[in-house]
Amino acid sequence: MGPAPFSWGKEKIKSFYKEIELAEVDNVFIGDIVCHKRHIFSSDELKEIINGLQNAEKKVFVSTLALVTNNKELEGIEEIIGLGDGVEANMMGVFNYFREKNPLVADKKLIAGAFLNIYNWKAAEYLSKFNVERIIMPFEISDSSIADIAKSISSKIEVYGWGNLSTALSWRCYTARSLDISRDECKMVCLDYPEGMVLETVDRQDLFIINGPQILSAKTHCLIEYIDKLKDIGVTSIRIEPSLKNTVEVINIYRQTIKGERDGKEAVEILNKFADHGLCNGWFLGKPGWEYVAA
Amino acid sequence: MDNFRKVQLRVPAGNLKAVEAAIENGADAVYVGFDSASNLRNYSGINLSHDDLVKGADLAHRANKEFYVVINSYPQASELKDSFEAVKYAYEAKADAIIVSDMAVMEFVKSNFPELEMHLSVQVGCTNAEVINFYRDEFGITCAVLPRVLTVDEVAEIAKGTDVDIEVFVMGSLCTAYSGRCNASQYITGESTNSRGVCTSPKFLEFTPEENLLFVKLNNVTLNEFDFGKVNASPSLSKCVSRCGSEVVSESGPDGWPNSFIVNKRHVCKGQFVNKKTGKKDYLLHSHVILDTLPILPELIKAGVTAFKVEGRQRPSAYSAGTARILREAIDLYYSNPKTYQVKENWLKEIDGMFEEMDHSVGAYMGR
Repeated sequence: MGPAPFSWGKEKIKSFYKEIELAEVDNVFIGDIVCHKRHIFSSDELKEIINGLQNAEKKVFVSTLALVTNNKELEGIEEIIGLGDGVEANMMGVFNYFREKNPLVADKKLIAGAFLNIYNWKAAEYLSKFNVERIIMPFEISDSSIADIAKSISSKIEVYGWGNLSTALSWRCYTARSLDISRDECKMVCLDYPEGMVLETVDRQDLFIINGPQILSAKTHCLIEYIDKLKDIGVTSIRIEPSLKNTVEVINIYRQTIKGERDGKEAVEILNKFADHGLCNGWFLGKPGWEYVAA
Repeated sequence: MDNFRKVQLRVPAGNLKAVEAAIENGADAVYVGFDSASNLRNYSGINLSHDDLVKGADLAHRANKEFYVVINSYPQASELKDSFEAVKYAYEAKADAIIVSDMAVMEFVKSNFPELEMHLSVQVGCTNAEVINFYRDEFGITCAVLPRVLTVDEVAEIAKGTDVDIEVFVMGSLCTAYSGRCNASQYITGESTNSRGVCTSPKFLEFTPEENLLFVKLNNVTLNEFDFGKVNASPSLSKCVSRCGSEVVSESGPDGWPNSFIVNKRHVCKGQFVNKKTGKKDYLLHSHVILDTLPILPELIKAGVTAFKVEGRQRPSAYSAGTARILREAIDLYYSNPKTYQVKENWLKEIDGMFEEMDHSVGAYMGR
């Protein structure tokens, strides 16, 4: 399960992860990828959440910001990268800690996040010298590119299987801007929008969701009909993006489908009800991301 | 003053004419793309052929200027060959450096052309010194182009944290997205910006009249609507599409309608959307300003920047000439007497003539 994509606030996050302790996920990623202001937990508070998940036999990885723009934010990363079983690097600077064998990350696993832009097997192979355990594929690459990478390297391969796709990161906070506030003065207004703000076209088609400095797809990316294909091309894990609604149900449906207990067609019918703005999966099939292609 | 280095001016060129124009007007270096998916301005009508790379490098070197080739896409399996070929051609043309993003390309250069200098493209997202130092230590990078997301203080912090040269954008269009992490157009068109080098290909654009409105659509997704009564003329739709297709090679400048209209409306981020929470209909994702750092050039130099970059390989040669001329004069003026440096009125007028947008902004440099 990926890190929470939106700004939820402390109490909602804590209760969410309590619920996840009982869910059938193997790995849980925590942290915020898009905005440093959302790092609202102290190390001790974060450790408490991590301990709860580890006691429930989950592996817990800390996800770093993708945009780290000053030394204070770098120090923020140093504070958290040693807390879990490993770290998901979303900016290449994190690799320096592993190259230098920094005691902060001793015995920690390194995961290459989707924002590192690993688009081909040669780049993926290069990362193997850092003992990268797993590489998260960029959102927009297709099954053939994923297959090409998977067959060429020993690291595990993870793809986004469920959630709103990141279509852009910005220096501008779109949420604050929507409310005529500057990013520097935002006072975390995003807390009022735990599912982001939907942008529709002038002819009323839901297109994007703004999430602070991030633009997400309004449609929910869904690969439930392609579980067998994912296995065939060498994908070893599927990432579910959490939301405040239905996350445990979504996990259960994916788990049942992976185990072969549920048919993909039947599963997608149920999941469709959880996608407020419709489903998509075009990128995986080399098509426009907003399209949905049934298997 | 033993270590004094005047800040360099690096200007874009989409063709040989622009290379010449940039050099004649004071650029210290010119950067170009090779005609393939190997760079992030893979539009028809711009970029240099293999032969033109050789000619362009020769033009620059005869004027004692530097010549860089941009190879900054993130190739997937099918595009790796294009990027490697571009590296080979850049090396053969005796480019002074290549501007790169992908680790496969960097590794290829390191293994096969170790003497070829590499600069980190803005596509990498060098927002802190740790990122730059990683690429320096792994691949011998000598310069990093910083994204247009940083404040001057953050630029200074980065310059202090690395011995790699720091290059920043000082003029051009101001994209609000973090370069290399924007797939908004691909979400609609399916054509990869990062791997194929195309941010919103004109071929997906359609103009659909309905009653008094003209809808601008990208692959059937509506980006905008315009009232015919509020524009200067009613062009035939075929004229619109045809002009759109050749927009990137237009040398006629952005004045007049419909050409500027098309230039302004085709990108996803320039669309008009409705925020369903606030009910506001506006250009939330768009930056409708020119990045113009002339007022803060002294601050950027003091921050430790070693090179100034102008955005816009897709623009005409007059743009390469104009931006080079203005910035050359500004840089020289600053060094002649830093205390008395100030922006000249005629620079602003000339800049206004080169852009579709009329408002000037220093972007994120003075705060986000």
